[in-house]
Amino acid sequence: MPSYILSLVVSLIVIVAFNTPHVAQAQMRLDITKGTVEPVAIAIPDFATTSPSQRQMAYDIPQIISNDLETSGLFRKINPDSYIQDPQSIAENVRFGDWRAINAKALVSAKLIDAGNGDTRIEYRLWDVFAQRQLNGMAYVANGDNWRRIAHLISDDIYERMTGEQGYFDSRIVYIAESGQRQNRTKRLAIMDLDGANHKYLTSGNELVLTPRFSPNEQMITYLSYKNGKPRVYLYDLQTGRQTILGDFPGMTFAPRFSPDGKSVVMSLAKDGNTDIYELNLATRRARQVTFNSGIDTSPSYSPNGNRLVFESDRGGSQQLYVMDTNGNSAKRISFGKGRYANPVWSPRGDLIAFTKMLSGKFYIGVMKPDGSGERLITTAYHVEGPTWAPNGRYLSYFKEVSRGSTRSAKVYAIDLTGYNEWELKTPNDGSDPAWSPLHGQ
Amino acid sequence: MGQNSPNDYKTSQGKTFVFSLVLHVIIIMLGVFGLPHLKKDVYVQPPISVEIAMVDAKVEDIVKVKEKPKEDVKKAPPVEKEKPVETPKQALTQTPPKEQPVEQEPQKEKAAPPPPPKETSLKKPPPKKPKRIEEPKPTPVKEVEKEEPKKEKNIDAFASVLKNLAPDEEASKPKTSQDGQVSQTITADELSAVRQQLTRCWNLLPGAQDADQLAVELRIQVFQDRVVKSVEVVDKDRYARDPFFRAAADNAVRAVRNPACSPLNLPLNKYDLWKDIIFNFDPQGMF
Repeated sequence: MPSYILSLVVSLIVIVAFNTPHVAQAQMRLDITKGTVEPVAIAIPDFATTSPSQRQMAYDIPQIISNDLETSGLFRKINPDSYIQDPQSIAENVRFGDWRAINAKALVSAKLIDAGNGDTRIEYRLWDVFAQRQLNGMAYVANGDNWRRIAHLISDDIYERMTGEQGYFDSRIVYIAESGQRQNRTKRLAIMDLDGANHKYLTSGNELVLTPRFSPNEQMITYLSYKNGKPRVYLYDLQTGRQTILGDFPGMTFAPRFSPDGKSVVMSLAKDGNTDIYELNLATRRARQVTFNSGIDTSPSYSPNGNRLVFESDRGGSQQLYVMDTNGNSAKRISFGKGRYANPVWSPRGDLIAFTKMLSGKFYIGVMKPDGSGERLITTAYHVEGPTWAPNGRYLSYFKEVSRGSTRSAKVYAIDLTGYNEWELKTPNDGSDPAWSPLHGQ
Repeated sequence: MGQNSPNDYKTSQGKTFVFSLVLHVIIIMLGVFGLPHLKKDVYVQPPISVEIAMVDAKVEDIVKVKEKPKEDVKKAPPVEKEKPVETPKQALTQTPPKEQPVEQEPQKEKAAPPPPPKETSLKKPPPKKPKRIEEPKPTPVKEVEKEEPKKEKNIDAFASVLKNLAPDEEASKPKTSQDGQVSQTITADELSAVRQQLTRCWNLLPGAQDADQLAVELRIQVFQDRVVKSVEVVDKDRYARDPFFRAAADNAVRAVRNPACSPLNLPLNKYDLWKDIIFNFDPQGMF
């Protein structure tokens, strides 16, 4: 055998011998099945800028982002007094050691750049401090007064990257603004950003309004109004401010809600002492009766795919929740716990149905799966009612009524699905019947 | 014939030398790069989660995005006179009273029809959502300095992260965890020590859809002084396509990278057993 062949064979044997032990060695494995549930510590220093005209924005935008993220319950802003690195130098070079030293897990850095014509370019980055890497980076251009909305969009970006779930900060709340004495209550349709900014009244208060609901494109609101003394379902066009009555029904219409495609509205019609559910096609204005039952069928809400409806009915003797096909077939009761159930609303992600429950003289907001399993009550009060889902299906808003002696106060609240993080959505006065919009501009 | 000339001999020697040289180069290459096909059960792809962004990474492909101006809403006119309108009973339902459902509320309104709401128009169409801009790609760099361990908080593990106020419902209980294939030479106490340490560093974000299905396996390589050398998400495909998993995986990586969990509470004298270890962060028992 030639010597070089022998040399080759020997070498190969040596190489194989050094490689094969890896194949045989078993890898150790450890399961970690418990963790802590606490907000992610995030540092959001002022944004870097060299322009005096941008200083206020460089301060305000981080404040808005901090407020957004903190209300989610998933983030905790680290006190800026403890920051070691200054905003200007962060934009050049993040010193991770400085942020680890104050136990920041995430860091937001950004700089504002004059983009000409009064525009401001906002470049931000999200950093994982422990892994020392950039998680996200975006740039927006603010012109005029839209910087506030861009702050919410950045909040959504951060939330989405850190949780995997769609953000919800760039959304609005329409609700019933209440004022005046208990026996002489003025109720107006009002709209505001989720953080309470840009608050506006949409109706004058001369007529009673109730149960507003957003259309999927966020441009229309359907609600119940007692305009002209007759309770009817109306449409409010947010672009024109026009209010139009929806359908020409012989009785009282109420509890409206848009279909997921926005092409129809489902509602209840009470006539001749009976209440059934109807669906109105918005293009043809033709109504279709969905339920034919002697009981009261009301509060219908579509599943996200539009194929099914959840509603409340007393057809079985007490107020319970039912699910049926949109054509009215296959109605099936899903609530079987103690107490009465009402106001069911299907989650936009489809996995849960929120409801109001009354049990032993107390009100609860709860959630259950569409088949009725997994019921969980997440908040309670003297009077709490009217759940509405955040666009990402992870939070609920509702109103709480608190009675103190002769005075009565109604406030709008939101809570996350764990039930541990509840906060008030600030309104100028009392508020009830909130409806959470889809994401702005979608 | 039959005798090699000096030139033939030189040619033969040269060929042998070249052939030998080529073979040795091949052998050296094999020695340097190994035989990948013999290491089928070893992860060869580069780690994802230990990549560290260059601090001067630039935002790439940034596009100027202009928003349409926000809608301008006129202030609603003040309420001239408040009508004595009774708030309808909202107890739990939008159901009208069974008796005379239509007449009950309207009759409390004044006879005079209220004027239509004044112009409160949102004049302009709503602004479009600014487009998202490409995420800059960070450049991986070498491993970072070691961290000194910090004092850990004493945090109690708890049963469930989901609240349930139902008076007649029993709170859900955590599932008992079971380790997978664990070397018999590492004791239960030793395993428990590192598990408890990581429990304190693993910060869950509850409430995500199917959060209990987001178990993350990490392959950890550890220095002999028990400091983490590298972290690698095992299921790279899911990491790339599932944003929920991606967030959960990043969260698990943060737990391992947390200074409070460095060095790991592993038995120093059993390095060979844990120098290359799989951590499975499974939140199923938390929901």
